[in-house]
Amino acid sequence: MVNGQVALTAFMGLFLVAVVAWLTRLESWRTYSPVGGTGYGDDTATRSEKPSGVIRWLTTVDHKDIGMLYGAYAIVAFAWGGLAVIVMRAELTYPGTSIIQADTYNALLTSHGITMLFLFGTPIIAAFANYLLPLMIGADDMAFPRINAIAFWLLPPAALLVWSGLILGPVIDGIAGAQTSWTMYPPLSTDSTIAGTPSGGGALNPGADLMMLGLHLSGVSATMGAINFIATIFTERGDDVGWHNLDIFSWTMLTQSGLILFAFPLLGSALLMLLADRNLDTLFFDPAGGGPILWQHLFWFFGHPEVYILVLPPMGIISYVLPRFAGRKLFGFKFVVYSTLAIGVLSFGVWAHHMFASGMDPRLESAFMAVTLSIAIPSAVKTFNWITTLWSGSIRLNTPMLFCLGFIFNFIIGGVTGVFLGAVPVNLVLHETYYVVGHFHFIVMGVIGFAVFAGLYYWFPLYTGRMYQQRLGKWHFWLSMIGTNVTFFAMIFLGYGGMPRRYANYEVTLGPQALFTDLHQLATVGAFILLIGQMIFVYNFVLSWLEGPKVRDGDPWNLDEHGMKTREWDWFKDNKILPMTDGGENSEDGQSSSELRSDGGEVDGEEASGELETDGGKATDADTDADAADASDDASSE
Amino acid sequence: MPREIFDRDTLLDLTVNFIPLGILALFVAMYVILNPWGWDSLYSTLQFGMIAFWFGLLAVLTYLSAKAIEIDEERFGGEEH
Repeated sequence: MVNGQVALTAFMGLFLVAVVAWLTRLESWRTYSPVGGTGYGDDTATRSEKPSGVIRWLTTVDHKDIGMLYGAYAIVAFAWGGLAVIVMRAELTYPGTSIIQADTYNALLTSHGITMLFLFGTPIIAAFANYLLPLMIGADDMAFPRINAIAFWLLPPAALLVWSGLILGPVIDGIAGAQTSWTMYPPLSTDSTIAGTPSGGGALNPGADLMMLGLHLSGVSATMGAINFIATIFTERGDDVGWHNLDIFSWTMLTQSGLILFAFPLLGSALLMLLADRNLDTLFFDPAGGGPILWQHLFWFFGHPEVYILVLPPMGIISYVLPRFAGRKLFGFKFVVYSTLAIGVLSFGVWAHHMFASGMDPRLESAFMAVTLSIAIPSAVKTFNWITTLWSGSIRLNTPMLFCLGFIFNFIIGGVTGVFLGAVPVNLVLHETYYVVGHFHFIVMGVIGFAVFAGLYYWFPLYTGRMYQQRLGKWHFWLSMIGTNVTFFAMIFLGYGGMPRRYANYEVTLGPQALFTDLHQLATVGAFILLIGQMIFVYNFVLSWLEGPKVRDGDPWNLDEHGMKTREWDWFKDNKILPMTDGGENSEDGQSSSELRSDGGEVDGEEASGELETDGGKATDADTDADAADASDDASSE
Repeated sequence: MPREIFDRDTLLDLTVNFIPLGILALFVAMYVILNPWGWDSLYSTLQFGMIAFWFGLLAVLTYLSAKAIEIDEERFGGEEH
């Protein structure tokens, strides 16, 4: 037996040596990158036009294309996770079981959480970073374009695995959506049937295994992406880009990638241990072995940095976009950089604040409380910097800016409610109540979601070459703002009332059931307001992409006016505007007759008979009378 | 006279990270002075070790990043975004 193990080890060693030898015989690594030929390696790689149609998207290694793929993927995932929660909110309108059974509710809850965090949150950030980061730092592409493509293409199978239980459940017996919640606490996650009940040694739900494998795969994807971002920022910066003038979005991406590098491999390892407990009868998280609390420690050592993995780049987007519409540079740029790094470091030292109620020693609780309260400072510093940037600014209230302002509003509420939870005594009272759900949804929807929308609207002309409809953008903002606050404020009050989270049914004999019902109904109304807002967003997004007025100016937001134009818009002008004008259409006529709008953009008066209106951008295809009225509204509001 | 580690402007920028460091130090001082749960060789070591570790790591990262930014500022002499 021992000899067999030695032989196996020796064989593996030889195999690895052979792999390394083969890799060193490759003629040039640089041929695998578009930056090939920069001084060494094989210089014979030739550039060619991209193939057309589906083949282009299946084979692309262009960072912009991959960014688009990430974006499309994330929007689909957002729709899945959003629709799941709409069904859940509809069920919670009344206390008893009305629309779906508890097992379906639990499966939707699990799917909603995992989808929004891993299949929407992380990929949508990767979408922005892939498209924009190389442009912002003056790189030709990502450092490893093929790894970039592989990282993306791991995600669709990951999503199918995560969703497979829910998809296959109605058509195949013996499988259902995982009902473990996104935290996957044992013993629930190690021992549950398709009904969500303890198996007692019987058949487990394979849907949970597939979900865990999918989650693991998404983690591999995120880790590959993170390595690529770190390598790109360190090695591919333009000659004139140093650490002192690296843009704030890239700083947040660098920090986020560092967090991913340390956090996601741990999740992957813990998931494999969990899968082994489920399928190989190991005892990693069994009371007879490592114990269920071990999982909580491992999970939250990943899970809390994950919060910052999701929120730091959106903070970077806000720090980047908000000054463009405030007409002032970001106040205290370096404050924001250093506070980003501080958040990154301290985020690994706070994990057990999710476990204050698990019965740990008070000395340990006090240590985690200290680090948790200290991490609030860099977060608050950013908030003050954003507010100070607005002070005496030349503010333009168009859609990206509205989402920036909504972000700050929601972040203050989500952040302050989080500080309370960081204090042990308060945490013990509010733990496992809806207060926690309200708090973190103010962050994930009210902050991360809003920053994503700010970015999608701000860079819409850049990646589509067109402008979106302003009025629909504003409808989207206000419905999102109202929906977010109605839904999640109601949850905070539900938590104060003692309503436990993760309940499909709240026909309780103790507690203020009538109040719970009222607040749940309020939250459901808010969720449907959010749904309407997102439907408007999708309509506007798709329609404007297909038929929106073409942008014919390299500076569609008039950033030059305040000296705020950045590198990616130079790229836009050089690559998307100039080739178009060279191609025949003369944009100069349009520009000569343009006039300055009250919100800073220019519209073309000659072509005012179209149907679409623009958001302060210099579009030439369309404008309406209503737009003129809207512009005067903007003027009066300023 | 030896050259100062950071110039005045950089030190001012770094105050943003001195504050969480100060808060961590304050908690340590409070726990030492008040000692509300007594001393236990395992848990007290973990308690203070946990805070000290993150204090040290934050201090080191702040130093390294400030140094990198300052060096590039001197090298490029450019302006930040």
